[in-house]
This record gives sequence, C-alpha cells and structure tokens, in this order.
Amino acid sequence: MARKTTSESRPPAPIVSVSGFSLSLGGKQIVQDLSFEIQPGEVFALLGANGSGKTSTIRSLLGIYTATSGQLLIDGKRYTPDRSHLVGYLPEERGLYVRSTVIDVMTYFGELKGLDRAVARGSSLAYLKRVGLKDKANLTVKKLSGGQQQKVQLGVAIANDPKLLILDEPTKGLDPVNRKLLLDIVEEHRQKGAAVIYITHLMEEVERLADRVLIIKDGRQVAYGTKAAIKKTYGMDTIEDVFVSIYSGDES
Amino acid sequence: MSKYQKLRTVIRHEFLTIIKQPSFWISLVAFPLLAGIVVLIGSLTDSSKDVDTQSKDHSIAVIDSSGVIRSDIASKYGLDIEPATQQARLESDVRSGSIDGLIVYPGNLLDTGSYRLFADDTDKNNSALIKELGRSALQQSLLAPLGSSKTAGLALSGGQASVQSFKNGQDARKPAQYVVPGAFLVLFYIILVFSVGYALTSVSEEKENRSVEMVLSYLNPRTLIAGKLAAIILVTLVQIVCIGILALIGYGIARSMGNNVTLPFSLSDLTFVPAEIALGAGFLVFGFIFYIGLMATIGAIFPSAKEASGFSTVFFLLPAIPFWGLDAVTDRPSSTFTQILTYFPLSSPTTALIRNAAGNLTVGQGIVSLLLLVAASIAIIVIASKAFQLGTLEYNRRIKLSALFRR
Repeated sequence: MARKTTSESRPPAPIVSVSGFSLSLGGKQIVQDLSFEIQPGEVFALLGANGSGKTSTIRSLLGIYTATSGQLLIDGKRYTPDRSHLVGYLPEERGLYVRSTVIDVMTYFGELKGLDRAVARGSSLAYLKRVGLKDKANLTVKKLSGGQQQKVQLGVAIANDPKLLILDEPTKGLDPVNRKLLLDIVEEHRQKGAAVIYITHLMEEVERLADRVLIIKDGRQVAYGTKAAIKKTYGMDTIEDVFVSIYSGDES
Repeated sequence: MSKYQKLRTVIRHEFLTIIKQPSFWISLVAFPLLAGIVVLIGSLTDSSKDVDTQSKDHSIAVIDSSGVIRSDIASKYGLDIEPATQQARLESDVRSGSIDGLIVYPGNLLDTGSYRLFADDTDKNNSALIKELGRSALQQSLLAPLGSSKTAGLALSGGQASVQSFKNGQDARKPAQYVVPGAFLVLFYIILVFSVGYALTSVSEEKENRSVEMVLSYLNPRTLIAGKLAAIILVTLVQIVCIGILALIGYGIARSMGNNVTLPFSLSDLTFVPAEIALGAGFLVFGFIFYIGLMATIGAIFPSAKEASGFSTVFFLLPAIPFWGLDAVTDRPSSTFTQILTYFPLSSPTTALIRNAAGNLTVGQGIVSLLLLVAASIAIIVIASKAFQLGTLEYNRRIKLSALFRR
C-alpha cells in the first residue's frame, strides 16, 4: 500500500519523536519503518484496526518492548522509568491493585511519578472529589464499578501533570456523562501544554479532539498529518471515511 | 525520582498491602493458636495429670486376688476393695451404670502381668481413667517396699544419665550442640511455610489484575521485583517476631497453669561455632531469596494466580526430600544421595542446614554449596524480572520457557 504523508510545518522540540521505528516479536514483524512527531499541546490520534501495531508502538515508546530498529524519543531522550514524571499512561488493558484502597493506589502511583507522598495524596483526593468519587477514597478498588475504576485510572495517568498523556481507548465503557467528564479533563491538560496520544475506534472523538492523525495498517504508516490534510489527500469528508477506505483497500 | 526512592516506595506499598490483609493476621495467629489448643486439649484430657483428684469423683471397685495391691494405696485413690466372690455382681453393676468401673487383679498377676478392667462409658469416657488407676495402684503397690517416694521415683524414672558418645573416634554431638545451627533450619522452614507464598501471590495478582503494564511504564521491572522481595523479607521479620511473641505468651500461660515447661537441654550447654552460624545464616538468607525468586518467576509465567499456585506445589515438596532421607543425610554424608541434595539449589538449603546441625557439613562443602545457591539466586531473580516483563505480553497465556532465556 502506498504511503501518503502530508507535509507539515514543524515547530522545534517535539515532545515525541519517532523515526524509522520497526519492531519484531517472536519472529513476527509487528511494526515497520514508522516515523512521526508530536508537538506539545496537541492531541495526536493514533488509529488502526485491532492488531495493527498501535499498542506495540506505545509499549516500545515506553521501553516495555525493545525496538528492533529506529529511534523513539520522549522530550529528546529515550524513555526510561526514571523519567516517569513526563508520562501518564492509560493502557487498553485496565488494571489496578484491587485489594488496596483507592487512595492508597493513587498515592502509590503519584509517588512513582515523582510526587511527594503528601502531595500525591492531596492531589488524588482533589481529583476524586472532582470526578465524584471522594466518598470512595477509602474503599478497596474491587468495590468500585468498571467505570469508576476507569476514572481512578485516568487520575493515576494525569498525576503530576505529565508532558505526555497516552490514552488507549479512554472512553471505552463509559456512560455519556463520564465520557464528557473525561474528555473535558483531557482538554484541560492539552490547554496546559500537554501532548496527548489518543488511541480510539470512535471517529467522532477524533473529529472533535485530534489536531493530527496517524493511521497505521499492518504495522505500516498509511496516513499522517492534520485531519484536513488527510481528508483532502483522500478526497473524503470525514476521517471515518478515510479509515474505512484504507481498511477496505478502496482508497483513491 | 531516583531508583532508590522508587524502590523504597515499592517496598512500602507491597509491605502495607500484605500486612493490611486480614488473611495475613489470621494465618499468622491461626497456626500457633491451633498448636496451643491441641496442646491444651491434650493436657486437659490427659487423665494421668490429676488421676488422684478425678478418681475421688468416681465409684470404682477393686478385686485383688493377687494380694499385691496395698490397702493404703487403694484408699489413696478412693478405690473400694471388694472380695472376689462379688465379681459377677460388680461386673453387672458396671454394665448397668451403678458404678463407674471395676479393676480385677487375678491371683496369677505376678506370673502373667495381666489384669482386667471394666468401665461404664455411657455418659463419659471412664476407660482412660480406670486404666490409669489400675496402672498407678499396681505400680505404687509394687514400689512401696522400696521406702521413700524419692527412691520409688528413681526406680520409676531410671534416673538421668549423662551420656558421652563417640562417632568415628570423635565425640558425638550432644543435644545442645544441635540447637544453634538447628535454629536456622527451623527458621528456614517457618519462612518457607509462611512467607514464600507471598512472592507467588504478589506477582501473579499483579499480572492477573492487569496493573502490570501501567506499573512497568513507571518502574524498571528489576526495581519492582526487588521491591516486592524486600517487602516479603520485612513481612517475614514481622512474622518471626509475632510468632516469638506468641510462643512467649504460650509459655507464660503454660507456666501460670502450673505446667512445668522444661527445655530438653541446658542453656549453659549451648555452643556457638562461628563457621556453623555463618553457614546457617548464609543458607537461610540465600535459600529464602532463591525460593521467593522462584515463586516470583512462577507467578509471572502463569496467567492466573490459581494456575501458578497449582504449579508451585511441586517446588514445596523438594525441600522436604532431605527429611524423607534423614538417615542418609545425617549418617552417610558422602553418599551420592546426600551429595546431590547438598549441591542442588532446590534441595541444598534444607540439606545443608540439616547437615550443619548434625555437624557433618565441612566448611569447604558448605562454601561450595552456598556459592552455587548464591549463583542460582542471582540467576532466578534475573529470570523473574524477565518473566515479569514478558508477562505484559501474555495476559491470557503461559510464557514459554524458551522466551525467558532469549536475549
């Protein structure tokens, strides 16, 4: 498939810089020759069908997987866990310490992200109050509903105001009220200058939030640029139409 | 945030997570409590303890055709001596419950050493008490001609012998010499039973509850594993202190109930051999590290805590093998069986600790075995970290062993 890249004006010092990234796992090529940059304060939609290599790309960016080749930089350096204050990650596989209390879990992750214990506890309580879970602070995580646990996990991701938020299907399973709440919180962080990598299958969220888009298929980059540029390149009105076109092999 | 600050954070989180669980305290208290209850029940049901008192509350008849039983002894136990002609009636009385029991010493008692007991067990079990009374009355009647109770006591106990034994031309070990090196063996087993399982649970739950991917984006897997293991060491120290306190409380209760609790050795006979203590401590520490590393690896390999727990059972059996072949381990240290167990890391902690207590582990053998255990411990911690990292890939499947050794 032909690779279509829309030229952009590139401000200096991207928060994420990926070039020539390839990944093989167990002899299988997962990602091949992927390159993109993300600027501070932008929402970057990473799109692709299931198994296309989105999560593997994120795991490689965070050093959980080791890239076969290429360079993956966050704030100009390869990411290691000692720079955890830079990143907030909400993985697709949701999970928290179910036997610990909500406030203990949030405080623990806040500390791991470089906050002082008292500060981590205070900011966690403030977040819980905002999302309507303050009265659940001392309950064990397993006593929360799935949606409530998801809100707690978002709170963990945004602790210590990271420069880069990575959200893998963040609204999956949320009701409309909580979905709006979550998107508002994401927007606030963007306005504070954080970059957001937003992985989703919901194209209306992409239309609403994303500044730029990267679509990958079978681990290869097939579309990259602003929404308007991609739509123009593909001659379509929506990102959803572009996506369907790419995955049906019908792009013009 | 430095690696050491993160390590400290992980240790505190893991430590508090374990000790905040009610199940931790229940299991910690339950074992010594159950042991205490068993001992207490045993002492309460042991009729020999207060047979004099108990017998006074019962109606028990004695027929003595042998002439051996002294009337003052029978009287002391509240036994009514009846003529032999009444035996049929008294047996019937026991059967109907009119009296609690009957002891019949036949005329040929001194030739056969046999006598008969009849007991009514309708409302309560009188058999044990009557058996004890029959034995005590006979024993004391036979010993009475010896004179003082001190003499009789000596005749009964056989006195206390001070033994000097030899083995292969050397002085053999006295009981007190087993105590100090043996304490490391006891501690190792306490740790194995109470603490090692936490490594398995801690790691497999992390994987099962899907928190591992987020955790590994903020933490190096080695820091996480090291933090978990250090927390388990702290938990173990808490357990040992608590078990010690419970043992002291139990000792105090036993003393206050009038039980004469004595040690089977004199404290002044204890020996402190530096080489034995150093080897004991080394095998205790690295045996512990090796086993928690092994459990962490198993926890990381399997997709669920249940599967990991099932698989780990076999590894708890291996440290017990030296006990099944205890004679060989203590008496035939150069046998192939003992040698293999001494150097194989899965069995070396218990084997070496047993041999250390028995005094047949040379310093050279101990050092070689310990070095192998140290190497195996380091290797297993590295493998556990790798397995944990790979665990993020395989939420629903077991990690292939070949993947653990791939670069």
